[in-house]
Amino acid sequence: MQFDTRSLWIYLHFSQLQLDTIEQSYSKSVDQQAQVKEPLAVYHAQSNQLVQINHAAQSRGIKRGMGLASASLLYSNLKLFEYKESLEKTHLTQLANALYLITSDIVIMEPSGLVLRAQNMLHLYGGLKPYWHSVSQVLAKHGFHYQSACAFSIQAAKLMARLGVGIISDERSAINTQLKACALHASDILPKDIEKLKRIGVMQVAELDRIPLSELANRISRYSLDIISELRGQAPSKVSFFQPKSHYRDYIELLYEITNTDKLQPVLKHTLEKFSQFLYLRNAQCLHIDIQLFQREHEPMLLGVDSAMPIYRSQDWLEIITLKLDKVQLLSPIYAIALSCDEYENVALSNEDFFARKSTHIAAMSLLSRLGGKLGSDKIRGLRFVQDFRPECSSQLCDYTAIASNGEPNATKSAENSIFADRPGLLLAEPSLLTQKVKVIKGPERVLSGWWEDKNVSRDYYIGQSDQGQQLWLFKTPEQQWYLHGYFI
Amino acid sequence: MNPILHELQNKQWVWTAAQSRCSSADSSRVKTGFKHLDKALSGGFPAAGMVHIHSHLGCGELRLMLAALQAQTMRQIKENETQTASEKNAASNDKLWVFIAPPFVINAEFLLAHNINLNQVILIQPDTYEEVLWSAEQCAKSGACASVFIWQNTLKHQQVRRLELASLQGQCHCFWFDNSQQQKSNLPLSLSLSLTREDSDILQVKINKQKVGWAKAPVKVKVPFVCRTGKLFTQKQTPLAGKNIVHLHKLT
Amino acid sequence: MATSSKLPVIPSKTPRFAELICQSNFSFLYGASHPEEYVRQAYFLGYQAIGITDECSMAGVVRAYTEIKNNHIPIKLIVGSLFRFHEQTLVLLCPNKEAYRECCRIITNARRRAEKGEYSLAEWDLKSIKHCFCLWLPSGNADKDKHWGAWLQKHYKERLFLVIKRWLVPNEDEYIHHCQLMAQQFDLEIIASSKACMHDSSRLSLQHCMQAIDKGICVSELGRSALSNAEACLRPLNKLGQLYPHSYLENAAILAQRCQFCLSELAYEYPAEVVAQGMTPSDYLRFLVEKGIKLRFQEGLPADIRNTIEKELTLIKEQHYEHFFLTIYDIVQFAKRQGILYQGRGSAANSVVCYCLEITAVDPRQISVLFERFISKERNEPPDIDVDFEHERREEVIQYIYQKYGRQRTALAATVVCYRFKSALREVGKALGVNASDLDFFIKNVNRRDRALSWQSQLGELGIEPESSFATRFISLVEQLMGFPRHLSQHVGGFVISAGPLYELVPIENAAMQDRTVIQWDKDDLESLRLLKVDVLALGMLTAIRKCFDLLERHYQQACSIPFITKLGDDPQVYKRIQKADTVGIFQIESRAQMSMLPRLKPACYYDLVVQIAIVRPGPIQGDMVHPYLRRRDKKEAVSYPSKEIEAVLSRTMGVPIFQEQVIQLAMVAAGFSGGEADQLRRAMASWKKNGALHKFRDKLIKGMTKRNYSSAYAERLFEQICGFGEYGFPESHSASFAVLAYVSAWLKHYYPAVFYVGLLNSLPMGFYTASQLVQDAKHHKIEVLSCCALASDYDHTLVFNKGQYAIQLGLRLVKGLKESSAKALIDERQQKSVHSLAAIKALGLPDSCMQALASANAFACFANNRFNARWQLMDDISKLPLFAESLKPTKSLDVSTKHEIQRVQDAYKDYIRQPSLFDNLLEDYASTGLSVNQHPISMLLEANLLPKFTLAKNLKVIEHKSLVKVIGVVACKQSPGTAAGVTFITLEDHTGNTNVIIWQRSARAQKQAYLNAKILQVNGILERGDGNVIHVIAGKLIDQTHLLAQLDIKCRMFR
Repeated sequence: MQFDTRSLWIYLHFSQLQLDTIEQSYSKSVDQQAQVKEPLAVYHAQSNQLVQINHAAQSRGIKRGMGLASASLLYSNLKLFEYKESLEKTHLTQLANALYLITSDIVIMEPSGLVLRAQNMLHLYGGLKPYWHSVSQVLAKHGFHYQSACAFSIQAAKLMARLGVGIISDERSAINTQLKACALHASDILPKDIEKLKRIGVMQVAELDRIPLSELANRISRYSLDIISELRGQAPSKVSFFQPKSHYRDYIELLYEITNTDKLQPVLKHTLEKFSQFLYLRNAQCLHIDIQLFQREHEPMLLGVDSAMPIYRSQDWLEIITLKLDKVQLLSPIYAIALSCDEYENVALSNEDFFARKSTHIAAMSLLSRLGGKLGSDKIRGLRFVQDFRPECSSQLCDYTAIASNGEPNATKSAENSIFADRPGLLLAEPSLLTQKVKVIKGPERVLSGWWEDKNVSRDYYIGQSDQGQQLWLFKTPEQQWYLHGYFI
Repeated sequence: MNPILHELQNKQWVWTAAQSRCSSADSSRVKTGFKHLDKALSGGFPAAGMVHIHSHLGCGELRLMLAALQAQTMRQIKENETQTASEKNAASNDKLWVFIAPPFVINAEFLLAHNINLNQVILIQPDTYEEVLWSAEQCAKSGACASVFIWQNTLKHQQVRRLELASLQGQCHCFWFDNSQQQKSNLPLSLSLSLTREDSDILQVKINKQKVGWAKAPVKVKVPFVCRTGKLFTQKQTPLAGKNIVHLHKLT
Repeated sequence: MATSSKLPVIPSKTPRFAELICQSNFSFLYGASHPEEYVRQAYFLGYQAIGITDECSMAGVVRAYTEIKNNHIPIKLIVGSLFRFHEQTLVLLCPNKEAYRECCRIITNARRRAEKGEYSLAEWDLKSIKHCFCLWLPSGNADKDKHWGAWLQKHYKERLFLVIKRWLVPNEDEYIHHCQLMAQQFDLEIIASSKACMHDSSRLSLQHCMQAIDKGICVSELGRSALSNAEACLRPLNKLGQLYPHSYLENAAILAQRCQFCLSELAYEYPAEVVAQGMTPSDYLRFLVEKGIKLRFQEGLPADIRNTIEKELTLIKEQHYEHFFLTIYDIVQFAKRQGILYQGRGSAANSVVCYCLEITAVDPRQISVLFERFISKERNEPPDIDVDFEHERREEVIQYIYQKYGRQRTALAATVVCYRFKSALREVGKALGVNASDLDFFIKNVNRRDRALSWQSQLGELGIEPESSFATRFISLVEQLMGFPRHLSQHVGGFVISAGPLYELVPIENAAMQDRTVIQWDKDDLESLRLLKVDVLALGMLTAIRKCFDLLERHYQQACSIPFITKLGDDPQVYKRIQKADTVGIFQIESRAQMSMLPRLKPACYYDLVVQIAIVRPGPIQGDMVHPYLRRRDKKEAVSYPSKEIEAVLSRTMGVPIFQEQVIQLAMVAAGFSGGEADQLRRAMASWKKNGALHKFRDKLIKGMTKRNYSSAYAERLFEQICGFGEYGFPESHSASFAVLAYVSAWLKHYYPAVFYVGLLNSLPMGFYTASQLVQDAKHHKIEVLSCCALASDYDHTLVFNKGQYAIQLGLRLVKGLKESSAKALIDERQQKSVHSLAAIKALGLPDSCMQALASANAFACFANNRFNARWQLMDDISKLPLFAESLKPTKSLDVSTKHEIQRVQDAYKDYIRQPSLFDNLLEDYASTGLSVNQHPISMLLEANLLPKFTLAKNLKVIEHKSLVKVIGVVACKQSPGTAAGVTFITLEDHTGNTNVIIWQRSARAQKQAYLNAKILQVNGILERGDGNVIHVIAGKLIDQTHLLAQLDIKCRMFR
């Protein structure tokens, strides 16, 4: 999308989004008012640089762009967080969502910028000042540090915002004066071209402006040339505007209040059918929906409903929800229900391999959804094998969704390289002192492991047999104590 | 569409058809791996249904059957030769082994040693007795499970019947391990066995009841431990690539 | 509770046993014990013998051999090696010398076939074995074992044995049963073994760590690839008796008995070709010496020197060292023919024989050499001669050796690279899951020189809870790993040359460097087996001196050589300069520490220089020997000797031990060390850092001395000094050779300074100083330095005659980013055509980067009036098009219209390309050439009125002792030498000279930011004037003034 070169743009540069969120979480937990006194920094591992640092860290001489070693020399207890671009993007999207309520054209400039097209809002708000007032109020609510700038090209606004010298104004001359003094290194001109320009004494916009574009044409890259013409307001920026994500929400007031969950069935069925239709039209399905039951005299009750695989059919959802409802105790009669779904996915054609996913797989997935719905998903577990010599570490319970995902059979793969000895089918979670009379039939096998985490194991394992014919897994400690650790079922 | 992809899909289509043929024709018994026992059981374990096993805990009650059960699922997969390895893998992923409220922790290594894919294994730990039965029934009739294992000392006639029906409906085995003292009789089961250990290798199997045929004299079978004698004992060394090159140490 | 076990009943009689398979820590990152530890443990446990069998390596066997020999341990050592081969594990043992040769040969083959750090054994290798015993450890895979069992049996017959190891691992019963079946099938004797990788079970955690290091993961991630228990160690006999049938154990002992090979049998044979045909080695050596006498002593041979020569020759003959001298003579003669400058040093090098053989230029008349001091029969030391060659041309010498003796007979000695504190801490930390940034932090902040606080306690201060189990583990593992060998690397220049193929003597493997091979033993191992190595080393100063000689010849028509200069005798003028510490660039005496000592020691003759070089070293400083020496030299203290014997040793250094040889001699005469013990002490000193072996000599030394009526304080001080020597031992024999080069370089600097600087600058990188510092120094000596120019500069720096004297024309080699080939292409073109415009240069088609580099260095100043302008013209890529280039082809003469055109073009840019400021130029100068001929940052800042009032370096000499001063300069050098705990020496440079600043640790800590980061530093402090007018500023306040020249890119050199 291209836009005219006369629009007024506002660029918002969030210089330390991640650090801000960290500090916010700190002040919540420690002290509401005080600035965080502990030096914190966000660290970018690839470049080995500190990219965001808080006030406390600055006061100890730590600077942006420093390496870890020099920073730790200055202050050894510097608290570090790894830079996460995805985290910043999430926050940018949230900000865009919030701003979308008051302004229409928003561009997300990843990883840390937002652009607002002020031009078409000026009329609505009656001028830049009231418009900016509304915008800054929304921003203040989020409490992130930001630097803003107005300009008649996105590039120019971006440059000034990044340098922190922007002004909120629609006067061309004032903006230009400000722009001229800007250093080029913060612009989008390619670093190699910035270096080239620096090497001929051109470091500021003003110096660059003196050179005719035609003279530059043979000397720097096409990309940088485009940026320069955008900076000069001679070419429009190519951007795409932010589109807020859509959610599904449905709210139904009941004709009569319901006290018994059984009676909810028809209403739910109706609601789910609407939802199903919605998904069907979009060729979509989802993994999770939320059902809210509004109770007359109590807080609304929230039921999260999960499916082990993406589904859309109302019957499928209904089956899971019904199981879930069995466990629900209503505190007071329900007068309304709501259904919402925050995330749904399009059915990718390639992904859904009709033939590969056979009917048993689907049966398994719906069985797991059913079991989870009734018993609670924490009661359904998968089993994982870990290559550890300590028996209590080698079998681990895991989320059964590993099975649902039908992905890499990791456990089996790693097991291929392992040797299997005589191992009992059932293991005692805690080995217990041996109390019965046992005859040793095989052993010993010595295990000495786990010294690295204070879970030392030093045991001689034997297989024994009891008078009842039970075959038991036993071990002897260096203190000559005998324990029972498993049954050979 | 990529022609190879297309062809592959075609193959899968053929396979799916074969699978359904096979499952519809499974009236045959599951060979136990022990000749005498097969004879006593009219050819082997029933293809589906509820099996009651009465024994002390740790007599080899699961090992007695596991190899046969595993072989059964593998056989179903092997029946079609056109499948690629990964398809087989995907297929073996399908049917679940469900352990409901086992008395102790199920040992993953034990299952792996019996070639059971852990991605197929589900553990259910319900809070109540009723939920145990409900889960067992759901699993048995779902058609998604190869075998369901429960450990209970008391089941009512009615409950046993429900599980038996569910197992037959879902074409799966439901194994009921029981180490209680009293003998149970006349339950609507496919098979009921009592196991006692004779010595470190020998199990005595007494058939209490079976749908087909009569109770017979006890059968003795040899159930050894699993270790793979004659195969690989030692730890695998770093694979020697190409011309037998041994990598000694990292160079810095 | 009742248990019964199938284990054999405990026997009444303990069995005989020999462990035949042990992997030491020379099976890198697998074996977790030193070879010495195996030997001691096996003896302790009562084993009959111990086999050291590292994987495809003989690197550990000599250590075990030496341990047994030195300590007279009555246990038999069996030499062998382990191999992995198609999933089978085989161990070859050497029952006799032929077997040993075979084994070395196949290790060499397997190693040479693969990359460094790998090996690849071929079936053919194993088939060719005719003497070794082969131990077979079946894989456990029945099919494969049947195949290989049959194969092995076919080729080894009765020399094949089957090994059963019992580690108490899962399925062991079945494995043993399988092995027994195999033995039965192939009719093999079964031998018990633990296949040890640890001498003791307590090493399990270290073994795990090493495995994790090898795989680059955490110990916790090793999973089941790790050892499941600690049974792979040397176990007590009674325990083995429970684990194995006695016959298996007995079989091991019997097989051990059949192995009769001992490393002492290895006889070294010298290459024969160094001796002239028809002469005995000793006749030939005498012939060459006599020839040398005529050359060296043209004015006649004094009788005492003749005497010395006879003594030396006799000693050489007795010890059979003729070949060694002849080999070095041959190498040196090659260098001489090629015009490569060299200089011998080392214990045997400073003999008259070596002087006559032209191995060294040290005239025995100038130094009272006692040859016995260097080769001692009693000490049983092999002679030591290192020869330094020009660093840029050493490769020619190496290639000559390879070519003359052949690759089969020549290889470099190995250097065993060991885990030091830092590497051990880092690797153990990684293995224990400590994150990398924390480790960086620990390593940066632990001061290993802090004698008051051990590193263990320092880690506690840095935040590791000392009582925690983690800390205990971490520290103990680091302690264990330190001193472990890590890998073999090539020795800097130690060649082993033999008469026959070398691989029959010792296995050879590939070095990291292309076409280099190293033997698996290091210099200590070679010494233990009395094998000789020839050290061919590289020395930058020799290159510089040769370049000076070439320049002298070209510009002054003066032929010059090292002997020529030394023959002129001690020149007071030269010494005067040295005494003033005007020694930037002078060999060995150019460091800060040396410079501050020169005005105090005031060397005035050759031997003074020998002392000077040796005294400013950690050894003498740590032993507190410097001050007594100074006081005695200045006659402030009387020289006295505790005894006559000591006087004989110490009289030439005024009773103060300064040289390594003196310390060894003292140990012998004053503490009663035997020759062998003294030799062990010397070796322990050399490897002190590696294994801390020195401390076991402490008691013996002090007891020995007090018994002989020396004060215990004197003894303690001597021991301290031995410890110091350990780190940087400095023998008189080396110092004597170095002093020659120091004098020669000082002589050149005094008489031909411009030549001297050009020689040095063309030999960089070497020495202490950067090009910038050397150019500053040249300018202080009133030598004009001309900046790089595309028209005037050669690739190297040159001498040009300018304004009636020689000036230095900087060469294009200084320009960063300019390839040598491009520079040479430019110079070639320049000579063929006349090049008058930038466009013409551009038309030469040099790479873009090269043109940019030249523009940055302002080498186009001759065409464009400034850098910016030149670059702007270069940036235009239109003229690269062929058509355009045609029209710009350089013409022979520069006609008026072209000149006019240039002017016109440049005027056109004037509107938008500005002139660079002086500041711009300064930054560019430093960025592109690392120096500025025209400006100094401080003078610029001064002119710009940016600096507060301060004292320039040249003005410090008029300031009173103990007065407050303020100095500002570029931080040119930062050193925290180990000899001065906690002190940092900083050199501040301004345009008038250097200022020496001393910063105490407390000041540094309190002002960390300025101390660590400042490139331009202001120091407010107190001026101190010491002996010989040495001026220091003791820092008080440090102020970082870098912001004034924020982008100045001067890399200050940091020495730690």
